[in-house]
Amino acid sequence: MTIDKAKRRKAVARWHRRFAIFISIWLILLAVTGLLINHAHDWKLDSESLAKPLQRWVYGIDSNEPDLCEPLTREGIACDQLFARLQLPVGVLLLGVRDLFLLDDSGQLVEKLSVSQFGLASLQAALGEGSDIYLRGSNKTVLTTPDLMGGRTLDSEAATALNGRQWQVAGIIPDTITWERFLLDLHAARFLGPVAKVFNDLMAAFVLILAISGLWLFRVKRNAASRDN
Amino acid sequence: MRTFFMIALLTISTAGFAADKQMEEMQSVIQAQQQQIDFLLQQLDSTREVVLALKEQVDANAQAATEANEKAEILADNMESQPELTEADRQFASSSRFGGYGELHANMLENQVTGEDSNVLDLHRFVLYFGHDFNDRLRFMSELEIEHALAGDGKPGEVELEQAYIEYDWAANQSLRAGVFLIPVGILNETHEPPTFYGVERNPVEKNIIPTTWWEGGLAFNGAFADGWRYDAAVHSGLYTGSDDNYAIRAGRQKVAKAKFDSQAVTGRVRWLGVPGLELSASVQYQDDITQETDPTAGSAWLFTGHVSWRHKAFGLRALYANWNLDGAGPEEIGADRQNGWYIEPSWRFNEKWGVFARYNRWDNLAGNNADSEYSQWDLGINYWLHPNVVFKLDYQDQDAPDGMKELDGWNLGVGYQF
Amino acid sequence: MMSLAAWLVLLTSPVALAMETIYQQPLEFLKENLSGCQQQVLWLKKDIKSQIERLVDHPFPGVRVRYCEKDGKTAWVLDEIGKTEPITSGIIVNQGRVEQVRVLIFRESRGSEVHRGAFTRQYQDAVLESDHSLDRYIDGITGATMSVSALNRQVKLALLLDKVTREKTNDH
Repeated sequence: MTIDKAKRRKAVARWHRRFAIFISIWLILLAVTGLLINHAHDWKLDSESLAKPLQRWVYGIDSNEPDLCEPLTREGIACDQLFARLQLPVGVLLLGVRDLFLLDDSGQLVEKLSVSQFGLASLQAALGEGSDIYLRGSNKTVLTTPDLMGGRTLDSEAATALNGRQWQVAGIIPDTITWERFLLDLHAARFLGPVAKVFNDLMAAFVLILAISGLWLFRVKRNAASRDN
Repeated sequence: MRTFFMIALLTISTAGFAADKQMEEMQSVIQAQQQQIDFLLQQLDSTREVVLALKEQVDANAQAATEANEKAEILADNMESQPELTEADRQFASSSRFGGYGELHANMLENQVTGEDSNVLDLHRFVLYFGHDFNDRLRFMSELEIEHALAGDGKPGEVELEQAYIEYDWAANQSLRAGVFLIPVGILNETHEPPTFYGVERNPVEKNIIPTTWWEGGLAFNGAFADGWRYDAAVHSGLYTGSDDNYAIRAGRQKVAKAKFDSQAVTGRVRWLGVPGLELSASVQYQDDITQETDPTAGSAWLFTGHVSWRHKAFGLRALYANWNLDGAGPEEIGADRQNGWYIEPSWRFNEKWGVFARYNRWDNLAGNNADSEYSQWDLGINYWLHPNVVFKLDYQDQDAPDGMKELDGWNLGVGYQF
Repeated sequence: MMSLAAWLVLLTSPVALAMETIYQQPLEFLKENLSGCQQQVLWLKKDIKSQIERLVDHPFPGVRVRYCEKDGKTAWVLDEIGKTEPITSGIIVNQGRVEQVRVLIFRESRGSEVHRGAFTRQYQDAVLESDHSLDRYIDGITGATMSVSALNRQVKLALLLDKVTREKTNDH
């Protein structure tokens, strides 16, 4: 190899190493958040809300949890599973992950019904539209009446048609951020504010430089090796 | 004459004609009237139908009204009388729970060898359970016990932590325990609350051979497999016995109190619960040095125990066999290389409240040689369950001891509870 | 660290951890054993509710129970807590006699032996005595005492509720 070529190769290697070290931390963060986002649904990150203090610190949001418990504690029923409240034409429906609680207009418990009666292992979301109550489990959606008499499983088309509506989701208290949202924001470096765009472009450019210089170095090395033999 | 006749004929015919006409008229009137009557009857029918329908509706309305009234009444009633929450209900609402059991014993025995009386009244055990469910799968369970009421230096009692473990259900019907737990052997070792067994004291075979109650610290897997089978597999701290105690197993329980951990043990158990009321169980344990490396003349030990526990309607039967094999010249010399025992206990439960039992026990902690070191004992007694969780017990024991050893015959009276 | 956080979230989230074995879905149970039955609702009067609470030995939430009815038979899907989690069972009652008992959903790590036919078959033709006990002794299963207890309560409750519905139909 000529002296110039060797000098060039050393310079490229040096800069390759510098870029690598410089962006390594960001690259690791990208890989980790990307991995988590990829499995967000499997690992329930899209339904778990951020811990309140973290949410307050990162996003400045303080959520108000409505007290759904009161009618049930009167009857000595634990309410750790409750996540939503639907106003019915007559009465109120409290929804928990495992049970539904039908209350009359005076707030008294009329009936406690396990979601298994609708063929659901656990209730993940609920939607109330007039006298249509939709209950969504992990793999099916059921339509029932305000009296909870009978339930019809919707086919996948009908179920997907409802996706955009105002579902009340288990695990998410209104006005809260999910872990998935938080991870996406981290992944896109949104916390850098207006600089984020430039930062991302810069990081992309560095990765490209790294890749190209890496390939070039590999080629040079290989040629040198074959020449030496 | 003809005129008269003619006039008469004319009159008659006119009359007849008139009569015909009248008849006709009358007929048509009658017909019309008949029609009217028919019409009115029809109307009457339909009116009747309408009335019936209305009546039905009134009935239905009345019924609906009564039903609605009932519903309103039910809701109102329910509002007035909120059920009183018992402690158990509040516990279901919370995820921490506690429970316990206890037993008070009176032992009125006489040593058949010396004639000496031994009359003792003893709060043998007072136990508290504390547990907490972290979530559906992860829980903590503990058992704190005070024996013989008063603990301390020179006092007869002990304060012991018999259980303290975290349990995790890693799959359906599969769990893992880490901490201090009861060894899966025998009938009484894991279930020994007073209302669950016959006899004031625990039977001497399980006490001296198993040795109940036996707990260690370590890791235990348990779960169900196949159809009606259950398994346990545990690795844990071991026994520590020595020549001072004649290598007796019971004396080797370290109770996880700064226990010597130079030698550990493994225990395995399988049970078959296929037939309701029947339990068949077998356990095996191996420890590589039962003296915790302090005695070169002794070494490993194997325990094998199996039992049958059967309850069908009123008839109950328990039978258990346990055998220890100890390695080494030390135990062999004194005959402690084999320690075993067995018992059989038929029982009859008359009803929810009364039950009687008989038990024959044999055990020997120095069974390895021919010397007479075997004990045997007959027990006969009665249990009275005041409540499913509260029991009064009375039994008589007739012991046969080897020469020179205490032979205790007499009566035992006890009261026990669990919750 | 983020992965660890995610894993901890998974471990402690109540949403993610329902541990249950579904032997049969309640709707399938009804379709299979009493197909074409009519869904009905039984409103519980105060005295009935207190009878129920005495029978199951704990407060009974709500004032009505739903069931399915056909040709004089009633089908009940009931929840009763074993040790800490509810067991869902389906019970068919025919004129005051148990016709069929099936454990539909079991949610605990111990005591699942109660779902086996060998155990539930014991309830065949059972009736409720005047003191609200069963007319027979049910053999238990070691290590499953509380599950057995829960099944007993469910069968007795189904028999009692069936009796109440039949008395109501006779009234009208």
